[in-house]
Amino acid sequence: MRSRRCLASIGLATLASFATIGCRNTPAAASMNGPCTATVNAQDVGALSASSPSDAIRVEKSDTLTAQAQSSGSVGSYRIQLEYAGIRWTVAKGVADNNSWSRDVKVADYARYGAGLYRVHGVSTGAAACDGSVLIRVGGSPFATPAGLVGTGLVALGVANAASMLRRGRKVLLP
Amino acid sequence: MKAARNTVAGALSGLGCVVLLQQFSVLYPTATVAFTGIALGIAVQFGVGALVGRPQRTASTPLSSANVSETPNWHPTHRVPAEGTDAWPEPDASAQPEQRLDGGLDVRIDKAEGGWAHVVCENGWSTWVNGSLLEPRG
Repeated sequence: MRSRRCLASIGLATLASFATIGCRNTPAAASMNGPCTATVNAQDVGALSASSPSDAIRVEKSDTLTAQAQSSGSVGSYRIQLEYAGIRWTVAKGVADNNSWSRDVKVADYARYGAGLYRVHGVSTGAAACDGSVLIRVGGSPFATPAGLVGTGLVALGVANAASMLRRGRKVLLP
Repeated sequence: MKAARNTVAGALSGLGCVVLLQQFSVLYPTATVAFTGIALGIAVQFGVGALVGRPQRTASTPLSSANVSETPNWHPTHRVPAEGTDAWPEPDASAQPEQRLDGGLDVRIDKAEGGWAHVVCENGWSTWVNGSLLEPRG
């Protein structure tokens, strides 16, 4: 009986936590490390939070993203990386021209499976190494993307399992 | 088995919630957010399971998976009388009843001890009741 109440408390706390995660504003985080300045679609990365959705740069799938960076020192090479759930992968790389670099990235090439928020990193190596990041918000209907459909399916799976428990639970009357 | 199902369903649905929140641009899924979503999804499933009042089997009435009534082979042998009946964790009338079974509930008698009957419900829960009150099913 006690364990059941304990589990019930966990469940309620969980629902509250979900609401909290969904509603809270993520504290702003520094988005540029190193002696560099960078822009994405002409917006200064240093002035934007890399974690707050309200600071995300809005693009559409048909757009081309232009990333530029300048450093106070010599830059060797650079990489543009996408990050999702803590996992990074490189989508473009090249060699810098002295102390600056610029690269165009087609959004459609990397956002074909989903919309929403992604974090983009620009990483420079060399004497003046830098790592800047910014959130990109890709437009489009989530329900028209594979990621959105998969997410909906997974949530439906959980709802179905919970509904199944509710249905079976009715067969035993509790005091 | 039930716990494993809840864990898998909870983890997947929690991950699904995180994906949907990301797709709707509500939050950016860091690794921490993803793991938190999975953990909360699992907790929700177990929480719902607890809220609907699915009692755990007591140590005094262990059941092997082979005779648990959630298997497709479960067949009711008796029915709880219309007025319902009390249920005990052990065949001991001096103890407090742990539940009250709903009238008309189908049960399967697993074993008998004196006037007590150890019954298994369709959802796999088992308990002891006064065997003389149960109505045989036609």
